[in-house]
Amino acid sequence: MPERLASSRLHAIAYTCGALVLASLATWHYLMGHYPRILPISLLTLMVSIAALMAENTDARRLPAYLVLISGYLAIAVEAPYLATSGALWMGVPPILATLLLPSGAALFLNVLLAPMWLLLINPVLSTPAGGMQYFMLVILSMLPLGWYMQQTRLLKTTDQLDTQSGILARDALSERLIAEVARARALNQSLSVLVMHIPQLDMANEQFGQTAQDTLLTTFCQVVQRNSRLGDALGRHSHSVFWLLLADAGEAGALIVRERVTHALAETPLPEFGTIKAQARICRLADDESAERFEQRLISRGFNLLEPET
Amino acid sequence: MQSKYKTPLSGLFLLGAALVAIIAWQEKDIITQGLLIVATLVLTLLAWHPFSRRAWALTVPFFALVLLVLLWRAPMTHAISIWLWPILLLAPQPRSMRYTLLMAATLGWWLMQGHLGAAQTALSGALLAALMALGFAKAIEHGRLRHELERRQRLTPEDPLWSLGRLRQDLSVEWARVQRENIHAELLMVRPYQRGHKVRRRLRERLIALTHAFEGCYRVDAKTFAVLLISRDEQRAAARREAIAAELQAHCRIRIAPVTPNLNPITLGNELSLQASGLHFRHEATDHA
Repeated sequence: MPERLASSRLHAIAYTCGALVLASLATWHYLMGHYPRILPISLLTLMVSIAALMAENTDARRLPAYLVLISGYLAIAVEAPYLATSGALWMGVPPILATLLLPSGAALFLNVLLAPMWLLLINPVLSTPAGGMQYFMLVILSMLPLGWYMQQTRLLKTTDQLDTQSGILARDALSERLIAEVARARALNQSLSVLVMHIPQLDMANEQFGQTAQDTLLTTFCQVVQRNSRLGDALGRHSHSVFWLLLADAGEAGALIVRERVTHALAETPLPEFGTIKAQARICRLADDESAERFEQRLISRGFNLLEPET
Repeated sequence: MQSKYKTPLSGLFLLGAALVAIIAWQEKDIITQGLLIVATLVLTLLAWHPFSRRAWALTVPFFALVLLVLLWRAPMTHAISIWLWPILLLAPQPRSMRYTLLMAATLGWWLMQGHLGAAQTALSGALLAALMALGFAKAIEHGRLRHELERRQRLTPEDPLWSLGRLRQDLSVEWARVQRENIHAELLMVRPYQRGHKVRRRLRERLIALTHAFEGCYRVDAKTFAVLLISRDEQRAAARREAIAAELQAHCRIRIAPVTPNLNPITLGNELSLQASGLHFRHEATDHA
């Protein structure tokens, strides 16, 4: 994904820039003759340089961020006692660094927790008591845009309808859809059948063949089922290896046809590790005076029956 | 819109507003003080609408201006606020605004440079550049999140209200089902006469209460809602249509069309906004049977 690439490149640029800042600081100390202050800064420069090298290469993006954050904190802490009137300026760096490098919640926690330490370090050089106030203003204001995105992420999570792994309806959405379909069948005086399917291979796929093979099995299964059912028949994942296919306006006979078609199509689809997909499917038909909750309970217990090994 | 998720964020905004107010109170310079008081008001207002994109679009340039004025009037007193530039990048805003912010940050840093030594000026400039790069990286990640949010099908966690994209999908599904099951489906579009958030929320709640679980409620655009009505036959559809129209006609303009393969909700919405009468039913030659 190009965006992800751009983001990691920006991180690498930022870390390199940070390493340059620290390196120039070390050089400055050398020129000024502050020899004891060179060593810590040089070590931190090394740390940030390593982070810069790691930023673009690996998928693990947390580690370089932590390295940079720790180096930034230590650099400010080491230099703080020597800062003159400009102490107030540099005190703002740690909270901003945390906000930009950490997830929002952790950043806020760390900023509030470390506030007394920074104030204590900076206090001797602060000219006005307003400095502490400004620090808190910076911390709070820097959280505002992140708070916005935190809420948005939560909204995205709570409104998500699809199972992240398979891309079909997840359990809650499936249950809601079932209630709607039962209401529809009642209002339109139609029958409703549900195909409860169990894929035993899915239970062991991860241990035996790994995540990629499991994902392939899952997506192939979903594709085959969707290709062999009608438009509008909802397929959902009720538990790890149990799936429901809601067949609106389908009686026993129609459901049987769909079951035959689906199991046949699955048996015809070869997969390298698994051979063919073996599905166990049972048909449940909505009884005339059954409530949606009772029907759902019946479907769940039918799924459990399928999960038990046949004796 | 998402009142359940609003409260902690509003509290954070009010806290920020209070801190800015205290700083404004301690401020001696009259121009800075005035701007900080306005900033307090802006933050307080934003506390009530933390999810409004328009409010953010106005807030970001305003705070950029406040920062510039602060750094211009008293660079050393407000030196710490120079680090707020990368934070401003994180707020939701158009891309051009981000580049403007980059220039404003450079200007802000330039305003400070006379008061710091050459060494600290160079160091702070390089560090600011690094932080701006981090801000851009985070903004890109947020952009991806926004993209996903715009594509989501269900709009709110509490009510079954769906997006326009979902309506398009459901229209083709319903057309298939109409042919298969020999039922009657039509799309009802409503647009309230009055403006305002509250009117729309009340209408949304009313629509959800009026429809069955299997009939979707959709938001077509900011002012227009749609409902898919599904009935067993033509007579029941007419009765249902009239009942819902009677319920809503006092406050809204309504347009109804039977579901057909080429029914476009956007066109229907445009026709709705132009129609003279309060209620219009588009009769289609239904000779598909």
